[in-house]
Amino acid sequence: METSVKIELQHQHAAHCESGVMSTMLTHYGLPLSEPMVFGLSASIAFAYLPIIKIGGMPLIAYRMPPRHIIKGLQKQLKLKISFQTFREPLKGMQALDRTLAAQKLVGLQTSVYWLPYFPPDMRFHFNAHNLLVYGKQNNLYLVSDPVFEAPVIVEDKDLQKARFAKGALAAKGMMYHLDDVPSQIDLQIVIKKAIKANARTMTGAPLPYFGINGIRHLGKKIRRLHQKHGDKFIHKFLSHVVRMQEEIGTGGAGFRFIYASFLQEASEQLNGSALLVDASHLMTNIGDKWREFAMLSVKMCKGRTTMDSNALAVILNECADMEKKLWDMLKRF
Amino acid sequence: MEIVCVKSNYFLRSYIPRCPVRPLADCGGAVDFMKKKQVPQDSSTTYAGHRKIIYATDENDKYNGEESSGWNVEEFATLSAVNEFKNKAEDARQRVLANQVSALEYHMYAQRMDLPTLSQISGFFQWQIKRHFRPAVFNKLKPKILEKYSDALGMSPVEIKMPLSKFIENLNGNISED
Repeated sequence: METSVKIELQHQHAAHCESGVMSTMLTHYGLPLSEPMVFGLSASIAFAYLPIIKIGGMPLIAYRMPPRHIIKGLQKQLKLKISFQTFREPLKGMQALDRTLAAQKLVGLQTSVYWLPYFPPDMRFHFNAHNLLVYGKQNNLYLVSDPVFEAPVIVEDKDLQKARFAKGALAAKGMMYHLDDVPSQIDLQIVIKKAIKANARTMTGAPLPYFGINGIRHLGKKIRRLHQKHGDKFIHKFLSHVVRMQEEIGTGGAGFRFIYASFLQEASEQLNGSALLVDASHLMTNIGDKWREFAMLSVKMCKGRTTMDSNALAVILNECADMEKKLWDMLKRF
Repeated sequence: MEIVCVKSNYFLRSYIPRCPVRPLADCGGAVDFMKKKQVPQDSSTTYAGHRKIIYATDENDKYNGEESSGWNVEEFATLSAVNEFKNKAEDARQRVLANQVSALEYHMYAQRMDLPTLSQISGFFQWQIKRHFRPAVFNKLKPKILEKYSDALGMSPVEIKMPLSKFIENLNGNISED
């Protein structure tokens, strides 16, 4: 079947794939929300240290809510109508994609990073929850707007199929979604307040030591304990894993903190220049810088430029935790 | 102002020396922002010429998405993960050539997988895969099983079965042709 569809789309270069996709999609359908706004309104900032889920033998460390949370959270907060579909058979998944495109609808896809040929080789890992937008098709080539790239790209159908139906952890099963309806009016003031409250709960309210602020302290404790138990070589491996989780995987811990700071700034403008939110935004920026300091010191120690001192790293992490505690206590009062 | 960093810890109190406590600096007021000019521009090789967005403030303290060409710290972490797979693949290659293990182990690492990942993707148990690492077992694998591996690794059954030295030769040949 020869097809040629192209939807006029303003490509947007974003820091994170999921928030970027949602921001571009909503803007396209007449609800202009920036990426930080999307990220903040879905209450997506978090911290989790999950020793049960292993990546290359190392625990999963997440700096935001799990994949799909941005889409689902936004759907709930803004009462959007989004259709989700998954498929058992790849061929049917591709046909459904073609049909939706033919109906002039932008399609969001969940894909594996590893099988997307346009990704830089060093960044291709088996991570199955990368989001992108498809805005057209010409013969066997799909026109893809991947928000973490500067410009739109072209992907061959067989590569896209492989990426959509990659198996393993977080398997997408060809997940695709499109917007059916966007509310014409949103009371941002109410939604912002609700979202911030919800996020304060996830950061401070979890009863287990692995989540939120407790999770940050737990990571520091873990670093000291692993250093004592397994020595320098192991801890170097562990730290470079932590830093990779923080900085590379979907724009990293500090990156997310800066996005949230930007959200708080935008929110304060929406709420007639709320001074509390301005302060919170500043504090969040400092938190992001603290996380970067942690990453920098970790890598310095891994490279052997300074002596390995796990206590110093734990101190920084505890400072991160203290600052985040202060921030969320502040926002709870809001 | 003194804030205790470590909460009374539940089980390992005697095991871990207590973290030294530092007073928390006052971080509420206007201090150091993530400024536009602080956005790292280290031209990381891992970005392959691409740019990522980092949110940073401009002269008027207003947040914007700024392009970054890379950060050394991140590059180090990414490369150490990439190199770990490379080293493991190279180690496996040596053992394949010495006929100690099958080519499957090399292909697994070369495709940036480890045993749990390949197990999840292919649907085989880890012990089954380990068994398939034995050259004698691997040489007799049924087409159906090879098909599953071919799907998981994204290569044809012929490529998986091919003697490894020939496979790498072809690979290098293809790259130089491009």
